[in-house]
Amino acid sequence: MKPVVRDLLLGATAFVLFLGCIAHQSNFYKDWSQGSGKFIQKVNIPSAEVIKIMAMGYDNAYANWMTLNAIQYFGAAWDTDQQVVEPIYNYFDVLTKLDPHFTKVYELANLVLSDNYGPRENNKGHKLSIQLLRKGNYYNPQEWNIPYLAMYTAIWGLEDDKLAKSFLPVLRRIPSTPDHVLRLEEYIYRKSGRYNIAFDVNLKHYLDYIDRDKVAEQEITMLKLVTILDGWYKTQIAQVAEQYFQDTGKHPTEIEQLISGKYMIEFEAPTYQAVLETLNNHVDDFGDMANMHIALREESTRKIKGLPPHPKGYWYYIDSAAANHANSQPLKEDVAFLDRFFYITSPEFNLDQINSVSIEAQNFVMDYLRKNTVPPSYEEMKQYLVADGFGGHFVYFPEVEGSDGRILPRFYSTSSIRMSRENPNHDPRLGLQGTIDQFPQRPAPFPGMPNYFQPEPSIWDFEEDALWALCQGFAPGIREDAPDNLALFLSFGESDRTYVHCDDHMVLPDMMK
Amino acid sequence: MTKIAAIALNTFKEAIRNRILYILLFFAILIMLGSWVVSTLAIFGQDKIIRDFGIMGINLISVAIAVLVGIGLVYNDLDKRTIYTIVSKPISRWQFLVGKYFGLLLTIFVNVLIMTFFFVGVLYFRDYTSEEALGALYEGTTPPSGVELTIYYLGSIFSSIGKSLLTVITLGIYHSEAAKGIVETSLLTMMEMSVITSFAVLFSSFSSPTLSAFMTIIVFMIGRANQDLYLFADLIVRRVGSVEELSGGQMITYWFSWAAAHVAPNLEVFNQREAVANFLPVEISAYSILYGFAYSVCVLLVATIIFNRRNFK
Repeated sequence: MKPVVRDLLLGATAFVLFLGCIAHQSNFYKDWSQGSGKFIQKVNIPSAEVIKIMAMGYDNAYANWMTLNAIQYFGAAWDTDQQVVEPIYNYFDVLTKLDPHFTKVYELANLVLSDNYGPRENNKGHKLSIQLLRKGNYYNPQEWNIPYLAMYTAIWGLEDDKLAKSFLPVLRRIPSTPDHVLRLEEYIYRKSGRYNIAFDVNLKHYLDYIDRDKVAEQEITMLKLVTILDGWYKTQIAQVAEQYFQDTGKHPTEIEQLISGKYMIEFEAPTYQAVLETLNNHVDDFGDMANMHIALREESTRKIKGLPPHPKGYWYYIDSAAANHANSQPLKEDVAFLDRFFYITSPEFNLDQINSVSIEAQNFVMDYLRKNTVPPSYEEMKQYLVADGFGGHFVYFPEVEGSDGRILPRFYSTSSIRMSRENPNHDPRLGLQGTIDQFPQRPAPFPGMPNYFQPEPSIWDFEEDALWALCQGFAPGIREDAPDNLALFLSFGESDRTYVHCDDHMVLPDMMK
Repeated sequence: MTKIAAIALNTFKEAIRNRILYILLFFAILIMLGSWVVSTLAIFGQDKIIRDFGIMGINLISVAIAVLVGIGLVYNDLDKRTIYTIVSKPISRWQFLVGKYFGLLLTIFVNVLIMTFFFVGVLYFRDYTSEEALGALYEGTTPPSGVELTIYYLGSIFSSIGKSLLTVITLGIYHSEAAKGIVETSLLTMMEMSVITSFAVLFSSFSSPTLSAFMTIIVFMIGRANQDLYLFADLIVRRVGSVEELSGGQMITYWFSWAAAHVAPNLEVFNQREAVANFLPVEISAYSILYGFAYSVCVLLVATIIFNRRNFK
């Protein structure tokens, strides 16, 4: 055989074999994409010691590779049962043994272990995550974010205030720890119900910010001061409510039951007003206030007998519907103390509610108008026509345009009408306009005053208001001259109806209270 | 000394004519550029990943050069019979061997510097074209035009080359944050290579290239796992309580690990790659330098003894 022919034959054989290999590989991938094989990653890996020897000194590069894998796995799916957290922990443990200074890996591990793996009941993922973060802190003592994440996981994951607090000294030793992290100390105490310590810590921070002339931080700590006092006062009210419950076997349904006679609320605590006054008295000391928090707290402390003053100027009351609900079931021993007495509330909570309904309704109307160019019908808006929390009600008039707009229909809470009358420039068009500052603040009720337990009066409580609103179309009712006697909203019984006579028409009111 | 220098220079010239050197350099550059691509898979720590892979590339390719070029150093002269023309001249065998060693070391050092220059350049260019740097270009009233961007990129390339050159020439004294510690770790790589090269020369002085390569790689692996071997020996003892209580296989494993950890070179003392990759301060101790120097001299002395006794017939 000639050499040329021989080489050609050999070449052809090689080519055919090569084509066979490609065909086989192609078949393999075809089966794969059809689901017979999945791209499954394994997280069960050898120990760090073995990998270290195998990596021949390139531990870091191997750690990088593992990190990249972890990111891809996390983005897709680990080949492991989500209830089994140990292999994931082992993976990150090995990874951080290979490169203990790769700080971002601890963050990733915390994210994966805390949020995605392990049964929720025993918090295994959180516990293992904190174990890894402790290691990270040991190797990277100057990185504040590692103990911060550990503290964060302890607070919100494990709900272990003691454990969370143990990371504070570590964080204080790191010079680069931001203020907001150290301020979490106050949150930990507040969450554990120790409002007096939370108050001291917060005041200390506040005074420190005054000394350092940090305006934004001063505002933050003042806002927190309100939250602390609110929790403090509610706890005191709840303690009396608990006593009431133990004696009578029932929850109180009215606040009067707790501020008179045997169940008098009585305690010593700083008041918001007193804190402001005390700070005013010490204006000359600004710049050197760092360690005056205890003295200032003592100076602001007052003896409170009866209903404590709400730090924002609202008042505390008992939501009787909620209290009745609480009475229909056993006391929840397994929930936080304040949550057992969830019926102790203030209008502040209702303000949140009024705003959220208002915002939701606004979004709904806007979207609807964008899609249909006409406003939603009354029926379509029914879900938003609920009590507004101030004794009023949300109302909707699809046919009436907003006064300062050409398109939007009227939707507002009747409680906001009063505000509108006092602030004529703020027409109540879509829900609550303006801020809480525009609501007239009522002083905390005092025994002896008539109606002092009445919640914020509704528009129906004042005849003049009600007549005005009905005639103006701001309050629910049926106009006599409306075509086909169109019911504007909620159906109501035929009885008890009285027409209100306006200048040029009559209105049949819907007496909602 | 002149004779050693002449042989070293000649070895260097010979080595740079070796095509394998350029293939390895090509791979080094590929690893560095590849690290950039790989880092895009990460959601964090891109800088760290690039540095890690880059430093690993420089180190790994240096080892490859030391092994692949070093193993044939003496063997080629024996195989091609050129050794006869050398030893017939007034030059002693140890001078020949030391000359060969320094020649190879020079080759490796030059290559390490070239790789470092390239890698530092990549880091500087990355710094110039980072999101923050490019973001600053868009902060003005009008965004930069295509031409302006092209000019910026070209300027970044030239500036990176210039800065990288300055960093390498000043041995890392001049550097910006992006290249922090890179030159220092390259210097430690050089020190590590001086030990590995001495072994390559030793094995090359009495065995075939294949066997030399195999043995050099084994020494390299033991050297890298040196501290782990010691920990392993320690673990065996801790499991049973004391050395006296060891028996049979345990005893052999313990003494083997213990002896290997003490006899084999501890290459981990030149490892500052973790610190550099994580932007931590690099600690070059005088002990490490002295250790590397003493170990290399020691191995070269053994190589000289063997080579002196070798019959070239």
